[in-house]
Amino acid sequence: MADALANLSMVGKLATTEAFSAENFDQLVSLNQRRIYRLLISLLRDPDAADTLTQECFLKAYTSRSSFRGECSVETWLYRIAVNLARDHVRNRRVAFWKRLFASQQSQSQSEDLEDVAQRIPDKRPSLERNLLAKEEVDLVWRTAQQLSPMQREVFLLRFAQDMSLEEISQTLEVQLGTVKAHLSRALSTVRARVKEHRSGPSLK
Amino acid sequence: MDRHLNDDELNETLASNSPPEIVEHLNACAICRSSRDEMEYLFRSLNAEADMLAEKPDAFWLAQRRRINNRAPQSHSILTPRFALAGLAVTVILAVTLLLRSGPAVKTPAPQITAENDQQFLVDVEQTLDSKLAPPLEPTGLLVDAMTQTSSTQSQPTSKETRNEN
Repeated sequence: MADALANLSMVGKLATTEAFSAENFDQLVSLNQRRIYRLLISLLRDPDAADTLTQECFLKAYTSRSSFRGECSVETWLYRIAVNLARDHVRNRRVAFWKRLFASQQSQSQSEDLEDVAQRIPDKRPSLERNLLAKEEVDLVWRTAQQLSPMQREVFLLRFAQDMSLEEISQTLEVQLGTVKAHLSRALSTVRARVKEHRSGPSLK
Repeated sequence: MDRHLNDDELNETLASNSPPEIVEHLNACAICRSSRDEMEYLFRSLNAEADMLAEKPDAFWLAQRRRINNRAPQSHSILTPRFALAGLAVTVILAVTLLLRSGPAVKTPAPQITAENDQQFLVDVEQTLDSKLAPPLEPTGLLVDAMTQTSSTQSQPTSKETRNEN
């Protein structure tokens, strides 16, 4: 049954009743939880939120299973739910940020995490200086991505952090392919400009 | 192509598959290729970082799965019908209680005061006066006479009233 489910999930046609039966639901979670978590952590860069929203994603899929028509793969449908949850979370987080700003000191842990992660990125280039520069630039790209408009950020991260094709992004975000291309082009222009600026001027850190 | 790639062309190259003429140019031009490769390397690093961020021990995935499964059947397949039934029961009980409390409507007869009663009253007074009127009630008898005459003449205007109107 697990093999059949996996195959059907990959192909993209899984009957709703089959996918969300008590027995198969656990397997559906097992097959997709890593991908959904990876997507959410790419979009949010917050492990706790990614964990919580991964759970929410599957629960939402379960409750709204009747609305799944099988027009796209279960995986794409789950991605779609996850992206919507991430959007809501970012919106709420923005509100919470302003509340927190005046209530307590900002934690340093997030930036420390970023630094730690940047250090662990494999870099095949030998030069220590180039290695350091690359880490800085990766951080810069993440930060710049967070400052993009929601649609540009989603398109950019789905393309490069999730390695999705433009067609997959179009399906996930339920927008036209041309719209995806336009947003990606604008996002790339912004990110490239920031990297260029970083290389030519003083460090932004 | 006898020029370097512009921003849009470079973006297109990074975003997806490039048209043949751009591929050809990239093969021939080291400067454009270098620009493309640097960005590609940077963006590939995002992918590697996402991989690393999502790297968790099996215990994490197992615990997450357990939490999802614990919540899914409780909140949706079992609890939801229970809540719906409880809501329905409460509504029915409330409706029945309200109906029983109100009971059948009691109709209070409205007092029937009509012109007929007044007329009857006047007739009775007149008859009483006509039969035998006590001396102290004589002015009342005169008043009743006057009222009777007035009511009989109200339907037809008098010659005096006609004059006034003119």
